[in-house]
Amino acid sequence: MTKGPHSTNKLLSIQSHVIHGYVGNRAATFPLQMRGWDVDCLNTVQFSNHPAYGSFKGTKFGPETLKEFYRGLKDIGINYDAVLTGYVPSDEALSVVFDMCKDLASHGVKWILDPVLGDNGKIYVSQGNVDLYRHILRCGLVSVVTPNQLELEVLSGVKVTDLESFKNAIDTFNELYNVENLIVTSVQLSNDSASLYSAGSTRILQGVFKSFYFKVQTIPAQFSGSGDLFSGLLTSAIYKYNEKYGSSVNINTQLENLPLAYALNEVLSIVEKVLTLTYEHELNKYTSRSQPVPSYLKINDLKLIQARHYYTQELRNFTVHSF
Amino acid sequence: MFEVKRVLSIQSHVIHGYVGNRAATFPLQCLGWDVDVINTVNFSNHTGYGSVRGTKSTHEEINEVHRGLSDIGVVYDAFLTGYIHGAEALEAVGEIGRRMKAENPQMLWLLDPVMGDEGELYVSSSVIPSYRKILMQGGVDIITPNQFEAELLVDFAIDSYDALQRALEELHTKFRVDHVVISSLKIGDDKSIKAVTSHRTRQHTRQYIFDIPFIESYFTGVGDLFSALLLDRVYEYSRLAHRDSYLQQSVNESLSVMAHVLKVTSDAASRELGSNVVSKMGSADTMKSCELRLIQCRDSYSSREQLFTPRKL
Repeated sequence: MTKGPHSTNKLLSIQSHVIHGYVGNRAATFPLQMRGWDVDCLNTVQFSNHPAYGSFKGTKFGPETLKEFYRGLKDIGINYDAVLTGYVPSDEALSVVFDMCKDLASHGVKWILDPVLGDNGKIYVSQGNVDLYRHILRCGLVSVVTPNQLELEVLSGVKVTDLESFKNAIDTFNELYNVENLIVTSVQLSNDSASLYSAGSTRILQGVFKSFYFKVQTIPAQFSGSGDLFSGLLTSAIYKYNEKYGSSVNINTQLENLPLAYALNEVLSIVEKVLTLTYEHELNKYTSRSQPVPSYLKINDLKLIQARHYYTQELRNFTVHSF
Repeated sequence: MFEVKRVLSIQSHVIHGYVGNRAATFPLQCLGWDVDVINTVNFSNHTGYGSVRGTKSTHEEINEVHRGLSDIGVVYDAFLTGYIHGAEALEAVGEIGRRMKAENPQMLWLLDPVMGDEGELYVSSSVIPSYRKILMQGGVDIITPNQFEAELLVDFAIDSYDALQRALEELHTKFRVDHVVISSLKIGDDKSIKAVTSHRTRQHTRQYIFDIPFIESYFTGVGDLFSALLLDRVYEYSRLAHRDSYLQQSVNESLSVMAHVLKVTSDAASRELGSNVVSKMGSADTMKSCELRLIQCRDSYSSREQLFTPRKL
């Protein structure tokens, strides 16, 4: 579907809302708007801020309310190009969100699913939640799935320690779930603490996947919201490069010419810019007060607004590697 | 290089379309503001579609999330409020504004007293005394009523230039607001639409009147976009020395951006619906084509163009 000069792409983003800070819908929406997307935000919660601050107040919308929101949208008949889902606060709510997305995907809407299970070696959802993700990935309606290392390991059952096990986990994931596009957002290998690895795997023909990875320098900090920024940007980048090059992809297409590789390269490049800017801002807080900088920083808020000029840049700074 | 301006905006949220916080947030972000967003309602779409589903936050919920913000110690440069769905929620918002202003007297508070238009009230009449009370307690820097809302506040008809002067005087003194912008006004038999700015300082009161084109009031969210743009301009210009007529300039620039957004929106609606857009409004099918083209206009919010030639009132 090609859009005329007056149209925009339309996304329904189902994630959390925080009043202050940039996680969930607050991290995904603005960068996509800057890239010319109309983003409809179905908020699953309204919290004052994200929990990593140590305290927060607010409300979760119950399953019935979430259903009502979606019924309201159905009543007025909005057409979306894509639906993006991230963290959903309970098993019941997750099941409601999946019903909405199944309905949308069965009408041709591309579903980008971030299977939020946990991070940094810790699962923070229930076992029921994990099973639900497994089930949904098998049903053939998801276009793009974006696990992090832990989520890839949990969903594939393969522990990732080096490039070989990384590739093995991706192959196993593809065999189990057969999702058209898999992006593994960030992986730390045991013999290389200076780099983060990000991989893509795209289905060329039934049963034939092409996989590749990028290597990105680690920034010694943990950023809340970076994953949500990532999956938001990825939605528009995949759309953009599929429109440009999607029709010419075949079994002989070089890795670097895969639309998914272009998209991941662009997103990694933009996210690196945003994280670097955010990190420098954090460092500046210490150096301006002549305080020593901790060796590892936990950063609550991305500098999403200060970084606004990056979102539309045509950056592809990284080199595609084959496994 | 890292500092940004920070605003708290308390308005409604719609999943689809651009009214309330959805109309205010993106333009302010484009202008470099960190916009913290408290949603007073969560609706699927605005009520003009004929069908709508969703929930309203209670005044307790509004107070609670604001306590959450206080707990993590966020301080704001500006505070923006628009449509609030009832007197209790409104008073909670007024109280939040008063507390924030006490903590940071430099904070700029723009209150858009959204109550209705052209003689039609679209909130419960119980909010009228709540708005009066909030204003009379002080702390609000800018208000942007339309003629009907200004009349509800002062409780008399603005049917002559004399009455207009009395209304502005009352809004400045009794209601304690230094920057008054009446966003649309018709006086007597004059068919043209005006906007009026009145800025009171210790030394003077500077008043200007604008002739504005027929604002396509059937596009929803126009007022919410206007108050967001105005807040940005007043914040910028009131901090510069020797800008005596900054309210006039701020309104002029905001109206100029609006004119562009409305032109883009109106052209797009006509392309989708045919020429006579107004006659086709009111159903879900057509309302979708009448949403502000907020994303398409993203490069226009920082424009400094001044298309209007106001006269001194």
